[in-house]
Amino acid sequence: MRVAVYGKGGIGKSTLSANLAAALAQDNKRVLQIGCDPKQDSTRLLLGGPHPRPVLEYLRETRREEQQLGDILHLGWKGVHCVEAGGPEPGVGCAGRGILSAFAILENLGCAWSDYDAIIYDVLGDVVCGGFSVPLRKGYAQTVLVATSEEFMSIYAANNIIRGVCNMEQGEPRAVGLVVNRREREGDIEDVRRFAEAVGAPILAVIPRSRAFHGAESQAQTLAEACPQSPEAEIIRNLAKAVFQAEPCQPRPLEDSALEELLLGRNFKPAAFSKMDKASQNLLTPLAQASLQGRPGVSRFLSKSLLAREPLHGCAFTGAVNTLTQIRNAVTLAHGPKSCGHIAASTMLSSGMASLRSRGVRLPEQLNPVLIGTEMSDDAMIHGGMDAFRAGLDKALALQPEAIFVTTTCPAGVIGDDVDQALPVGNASKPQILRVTTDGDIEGDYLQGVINACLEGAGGLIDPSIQPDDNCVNIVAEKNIALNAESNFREMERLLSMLGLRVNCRFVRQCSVQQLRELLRAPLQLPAYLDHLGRVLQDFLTGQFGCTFTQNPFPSGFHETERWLREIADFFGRGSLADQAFDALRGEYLQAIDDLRPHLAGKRLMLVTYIHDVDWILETAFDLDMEVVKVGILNYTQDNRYRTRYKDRLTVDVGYDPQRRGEDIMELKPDLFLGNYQPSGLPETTHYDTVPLCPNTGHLGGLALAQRWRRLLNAPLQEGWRKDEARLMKGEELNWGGAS
Amino acid sequence: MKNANACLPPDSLTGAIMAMEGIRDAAVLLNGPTGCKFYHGAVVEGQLPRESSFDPLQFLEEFYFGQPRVPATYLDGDDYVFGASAKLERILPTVAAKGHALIAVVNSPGAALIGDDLNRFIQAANLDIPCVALESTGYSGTMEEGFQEAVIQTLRTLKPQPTAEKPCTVNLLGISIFQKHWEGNIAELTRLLALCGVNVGAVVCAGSSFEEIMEMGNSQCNVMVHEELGGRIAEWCESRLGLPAMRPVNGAPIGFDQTEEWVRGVCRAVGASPRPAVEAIDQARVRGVTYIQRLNSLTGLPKGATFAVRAPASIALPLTQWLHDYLGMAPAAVDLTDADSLLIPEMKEILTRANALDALGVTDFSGVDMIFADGAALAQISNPDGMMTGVEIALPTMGYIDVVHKCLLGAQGSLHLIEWIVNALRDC
Ligand code: SF4
Repeated sequence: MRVAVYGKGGIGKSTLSANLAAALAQDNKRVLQIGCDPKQDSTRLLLGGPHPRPVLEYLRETRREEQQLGDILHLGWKGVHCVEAGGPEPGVGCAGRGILSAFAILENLGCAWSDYDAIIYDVLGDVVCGGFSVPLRKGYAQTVLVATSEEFMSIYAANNIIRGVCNMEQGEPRAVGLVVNRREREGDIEDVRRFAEAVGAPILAVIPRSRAFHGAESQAQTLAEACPQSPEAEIIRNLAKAVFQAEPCQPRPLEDSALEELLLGRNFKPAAFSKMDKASQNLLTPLAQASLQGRPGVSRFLSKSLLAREPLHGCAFTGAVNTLTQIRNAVTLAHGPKSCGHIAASTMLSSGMASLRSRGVRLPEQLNPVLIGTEMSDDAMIHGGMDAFRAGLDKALALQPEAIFVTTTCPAGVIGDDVDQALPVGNASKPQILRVTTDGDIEGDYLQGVINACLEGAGGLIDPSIQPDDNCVNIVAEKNIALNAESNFREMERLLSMLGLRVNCRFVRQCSVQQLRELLRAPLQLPAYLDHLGRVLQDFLTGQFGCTFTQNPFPSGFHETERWLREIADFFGRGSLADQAFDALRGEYLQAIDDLRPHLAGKRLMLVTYIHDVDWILETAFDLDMEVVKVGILNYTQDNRYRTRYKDRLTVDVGYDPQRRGEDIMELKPDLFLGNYQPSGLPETTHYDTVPLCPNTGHLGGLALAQRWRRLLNAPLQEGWRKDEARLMKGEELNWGGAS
Repeated sequence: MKNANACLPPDSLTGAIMAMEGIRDAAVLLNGPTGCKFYHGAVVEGQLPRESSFDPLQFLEEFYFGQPRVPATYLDGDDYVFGASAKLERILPTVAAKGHALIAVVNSPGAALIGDDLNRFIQAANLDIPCVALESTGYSGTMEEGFQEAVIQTLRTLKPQPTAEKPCTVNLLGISIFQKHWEGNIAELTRLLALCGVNVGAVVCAGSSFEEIMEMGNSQCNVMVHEELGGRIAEWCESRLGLPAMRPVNGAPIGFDQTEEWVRGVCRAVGASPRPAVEAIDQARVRGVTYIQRLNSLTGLPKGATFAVRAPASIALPLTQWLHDYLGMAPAAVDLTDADSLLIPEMKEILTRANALDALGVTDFSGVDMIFADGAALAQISNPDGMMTGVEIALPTMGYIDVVHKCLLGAQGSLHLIEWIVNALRDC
């Protein structure tokens, strides 16, 4: 018999379990009692008082090669074997995870479950989470005894437990019945009877409220030891027999409303956590409320996926780390296991290495991001990771940075490590330590992490007292993992220099703590993109610091470049410098268009893309007299607002269904199909090419693509290798030529 | 501010995913957020390409997020509280429908905490193909621990049994798709063994199929390549499958002598003659020496050129030994990525012999003539004088794609090393 005793916290499970164990032992059964409650008091009555050393504590403090079963398996009254699993302090760690580890070590040290006639698991409270199921896993508890009193909340908990048990059934009945542990001396237990009948579970015993229990407990004994002749001891003995012999049953839980109806006869909403509460318990909600209290202004700034409740793309942790590690003289602290730090660092590294490889641009912040992981271990998951966090913080401090950014991962969030309490109080700390809300993806997707890093991390450094200076601008909302981010920036820097302007700070890319502190030195902010991130950062900087933004993002194509430079020149009153710049740029552009037009005029173009601003491509196509037959805009996590100045010249299909590509190609017969990736399986009637997710900026941005189109249209429609591609599709054996 | 070496290494989660995705026809199903998925999905497709299309619009269905590999249950904040039952119920048949031979359901670090019982979902899904549940891959364990634990857990679940003994056949242990040149290395070792009439049965969790792994018990023995990736697996196979293991004592077969010793060891274990492979190695020695001699007669090199190695000990030890003993190069820095390796005494012995014990643990590679390291370490070295040459021998990669596979192990591996070295040093 392997039975797990469940019931609402405080219902008396430990007393019940210990008494059951004693009664079974009295009946010459070989019994193992395992306390699975971090309170560690399950076996007290069997051991005569002292708390045995809990398995999880032992695991943490004893070297693996020195561990012995005898250190954690204790001999209790009548030879009952007693184990306390132990667990984290209330509010930290994950008790369920702890129980799993405790069971694993018992097995590794040679504890054989089959040596016992009866194993009793005294299980933590009534939590209906993954931890609840641990003793029910294969090989551990086979059946469940549910303890309840006659009170509503206790029955309510019993119903939740039955729901959990149903989920664990795996085709076999897992419950044995209910035990009523009475709270009142008087009164009926009619409610429990009706409940038992409604769910289909037998009541195996009704234990009266009695001084006998109290008396035995005060001597740290069970009834079987303290007063074996008492009627209460007899009840327990009968219960033990009943549980030992019981055929498992399959109770079915009631809906919460049905339970309330049954017991209260009215539409009563219990205060405890319930399934109906799911919406209000939604962890995304606190982003806008509780978790951001004290961080004014942040709550409004949600990523598109959070706003639209779409599946999350990437995690806020990685988004935040990839943004914060762009800041020089700062350290980013990642509270979590190594895997999270590795994933975040690798994202930066791969774009840094691509930039070095393909463009010869070395970005130290991406090649060697200053990121310290707290390397949370299995032990930290059980006992809480605050020691690991403090050690990580010390490491970060030892580097003597000007600022430290604190981020957290999913595991740190799940076990509820409260890193805020380990940070110095107040803002005067040196270095400045700034907490950035992440908790892995619990706080949202990659983009939400980028937003939080910009607002809480970089934004937290801005000194509001800095006075503006007239010769500089800030760049806002560049994309850190775009391959052309650096070349685009250089081109913009070159154009700005034509107006006699320098870049004060990039918010947030390749910048220093000092530059961020002095962000307000620049009177004008230039958004790289006005996609969702660009708009969020604009709202933030405008709302918090009264910053002024240009209306236009980084330009691509001649028209946008002219408009962009004009707007900036007007702001700084540098119209004549702008005129000189335009003359030079226009000459270059028109010459390039004249060279290309004879080759591309009249060619039909179809474009299907995630990019929500494609005017730079359309301008090129129109200036070359190409015919744009279709523009399809795909749903994209980073942006949701399609914008164009060519409304009158074409129809655009926003939210385009990619399944329609083949059909549209057959119908519209484009000469050239452009997408963000080379498609496969589409008709062989057109040339396919890719366009970058982030456009190349500057007046010649679109023309670089057009030069390629010209070459493409002269190439065969189907290159020779595509015949061999068919072989690959058929799964022919790959020949890894050379090495073998 | 002081500098931080923040190149965070992969951990046991990555090791487990690489092990399971290393089975040619198996798929990892990640019960976790997309934050853990995208990186692994990209790396495995880069290391062991299986799909002919990279068009993300081909993989738009739920769980795939535009990537062909490592579908995931995209856990979010709600799932951490309520569990991911509904998604787990849906994803298993979806992935099974793709025709894999095995599915490995792997919990992400956060998912492992909430305790969704993966086996329950696997049983309920009642699929035609076997599934393995990896409930926790450990937290902050090493990549090698995660790899081996996943392999052992899989073998324990699937219980491969010997059916018909295959004479003169061995399995290779201790290779992972998360290694640079892993395919080239396998091809070279397989070639050398084939010359001696020894077949390779399964390369465990590095390119072999599920069926080949299930038949691994039919081989005569296991042969170790990289101890840190296979030591525990070898012990498990020895005790549970009765498969003995040939485990070289000085690391992987790098350099001519070590390769010869490795081949001899395998042949001894299966009763074959090593002569044909030794002859092939001798031919490679002659070819290699042709180029070393030319370099040497003009410049005196490679003798005296300095080198740095950053790698696990199973590579760093034989490589350092060969560069020093065979080519006369001088160790300037040896940075072991597995600092607790059992091979450290041997490493110290070689460095002592080279009068360069202080090179052990040096991570600053500036001013060294040749660096053998992972792409990240090489990328971090700014090379103002243009004098240093880096040879990428481990992941992460700088991104160079080898269409024709190179190798580091065996006779061909030695020739590749010579090629890299003579090209790097000839203009010094
Ligand atoms: S566990 Fe969470 S924080 Fe860590 S990489 Fe995965 S999604 Fe991101």
